[in-house]
Amino acid sequence: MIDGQNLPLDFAMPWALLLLPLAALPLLRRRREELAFPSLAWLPKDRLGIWVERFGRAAAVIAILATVLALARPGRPEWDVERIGRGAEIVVLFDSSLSMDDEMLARGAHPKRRRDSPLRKRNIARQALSAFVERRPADRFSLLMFGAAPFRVTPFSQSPEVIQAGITAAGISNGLPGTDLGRGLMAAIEQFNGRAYTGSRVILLVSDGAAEIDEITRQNIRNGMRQNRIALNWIYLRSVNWPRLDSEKEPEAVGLITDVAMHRFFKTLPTTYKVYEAESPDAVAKAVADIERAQNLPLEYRERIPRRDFTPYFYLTAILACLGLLAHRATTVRSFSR
Amino acid sequence: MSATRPTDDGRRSGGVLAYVGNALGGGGWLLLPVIALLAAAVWLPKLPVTRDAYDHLVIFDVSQSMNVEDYRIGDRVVSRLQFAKHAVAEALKNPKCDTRIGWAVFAGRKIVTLLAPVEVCRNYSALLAALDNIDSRMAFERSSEIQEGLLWTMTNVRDLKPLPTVIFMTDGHEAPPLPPERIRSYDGALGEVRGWVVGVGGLQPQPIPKSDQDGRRIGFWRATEVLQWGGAANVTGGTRHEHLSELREAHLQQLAKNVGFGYTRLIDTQSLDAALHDRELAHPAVVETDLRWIPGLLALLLLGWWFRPDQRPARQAG
Repeated sequence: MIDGQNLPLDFAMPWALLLLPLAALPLLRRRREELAFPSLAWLPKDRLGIWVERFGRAAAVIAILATVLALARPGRPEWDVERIGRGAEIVVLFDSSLSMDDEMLARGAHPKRRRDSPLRKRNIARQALSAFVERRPADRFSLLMFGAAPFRVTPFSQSPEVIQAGITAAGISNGLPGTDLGRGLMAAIEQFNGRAYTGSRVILLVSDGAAEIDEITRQNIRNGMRQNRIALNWIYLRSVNWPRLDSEKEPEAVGLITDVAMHRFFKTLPTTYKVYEAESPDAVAKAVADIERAQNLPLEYRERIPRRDFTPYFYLTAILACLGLLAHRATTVRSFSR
Repeated sequence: MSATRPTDDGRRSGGVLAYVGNALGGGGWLLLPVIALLAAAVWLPKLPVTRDAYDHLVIFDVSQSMNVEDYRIGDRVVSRLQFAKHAVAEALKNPKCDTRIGWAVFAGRKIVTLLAPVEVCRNYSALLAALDNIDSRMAFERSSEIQEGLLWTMTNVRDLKPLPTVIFMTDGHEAPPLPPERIRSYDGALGEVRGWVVGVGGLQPQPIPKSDQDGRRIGFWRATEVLQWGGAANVTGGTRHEHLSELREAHLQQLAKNVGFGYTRLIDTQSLDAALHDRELAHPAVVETDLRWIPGLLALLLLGWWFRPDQRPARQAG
């Protein structure tokens, strides 16, 4: 971990420091600045003169030194500070299966797979997530996609830009065959393994359902969620006017067997579970806003303080030294003949 | 030796002007442009400058033949995929800040984009962490139809905006073997999507490690477990030893030509330079650029010239 206090200064263009020897130039005695005296023996010792002379040389050395250092672009390197914020550690688990390419349509309507459709589930989820990440600078995000296999896109990252790039990518990839939610969830849980518990932990599942999980994996998921104390939020991208997951009707009757089975399994998890049934872009945005309110527990996080550039101070120093040099010249005799 | 009095001239005309005249005389006026240049360096804002920038989507073949270990990093034997990742990571070590890079993986007939291209300097460590995650467990299908994958890429990479250039890293091992009559030509416009195919792997046929869905090694593929190519040796690389894998270079060159890409072989970590810094792939980008060094350097040159050493050594004092 970079500790700013221990590294007070670095150079963005360190090779410019090769010019540092130039600062020795004013120390060389130069013939053209000498005054010829027939004899020096009779001259009294000129204390003030010696100091004025030294002042002039020092100003010259400083002028060159400061300019060279400024060229090397000194600054304080970026560093992290520990802060306590409000937020969470969130693993976004993004369903990348083929059905996510469908549009969100009313039941019965034939779903089309138009690439740029704003109604595409994938596009809707992407936009909502992207806005969510943008509004949550204190959260730490990790991104996974899953189809038949989990894709660990990024581990917990301090770089919101990279998370956004991952969300962009999740929003464009065409569907993957298979929906192995079990392995996806296990991979998401593993992201927390070995991490110190610093605040609330959430897996944010973005999926349109239709995934089956076998009994062994279910048990592993329960254990993992309990051990790592992870809450589960499911943004369920369902189609308009499908019955809700908790409705009284038997799932078999409405063709939602797998989705309802998922929901019932999640309700048996030892940690918090909440489902957001979102049937339109607005509903997705609302679900995200709701999660935003809920996940506001204190969280230790590191804020990255960007690099501070000190270059102008060094140029200013050089200017002052040059002014000093002028002042020195104003008060000295450099030649008897004019 | 200098003395501490204004010149006789100065005393005669009197006042501040005399001191100013003295300061600027004898070449002292040179300090004025030096100060002006330094002041310019202090207050010069960042200016937009047009430069070459790159926007790469690096696609890694994650099929099982990429697990063949025929590369070395130091004295460690590594797989094709590991070496490809290593070479890319090395290439990022001295990032140009106007380069953007993203990751994708190829298996079956498709690519999956993991990260859209992001700026390298700011996101260096996060990019490396994401690169580190790429392994053959990401193979979402067991087949590896490279021709189809490349053609699929040509169409689907357009979803990324701005359109990146493509660096496709593969060993060219089609599984199942591609019959010559199934070679398809690219029906889009050449030159719209640009990029390189990078051939990864050695030329010696090697057994292909077999792994389960969690990436655990479970021996090697046997000759009877894979679809062999029955026909004559052909340009698509079909062989009678499909359970062994080597870099199918002729096939990749053909594929690259078909879509208007360049081809290069990954021999060492330098091999990628040709692809990653191909001027043909660069696009002009307006970058806010720090130009303070220009007046700064000029000021330094003037100072250096002003304090230049004498041609002859100085007289000995006293």
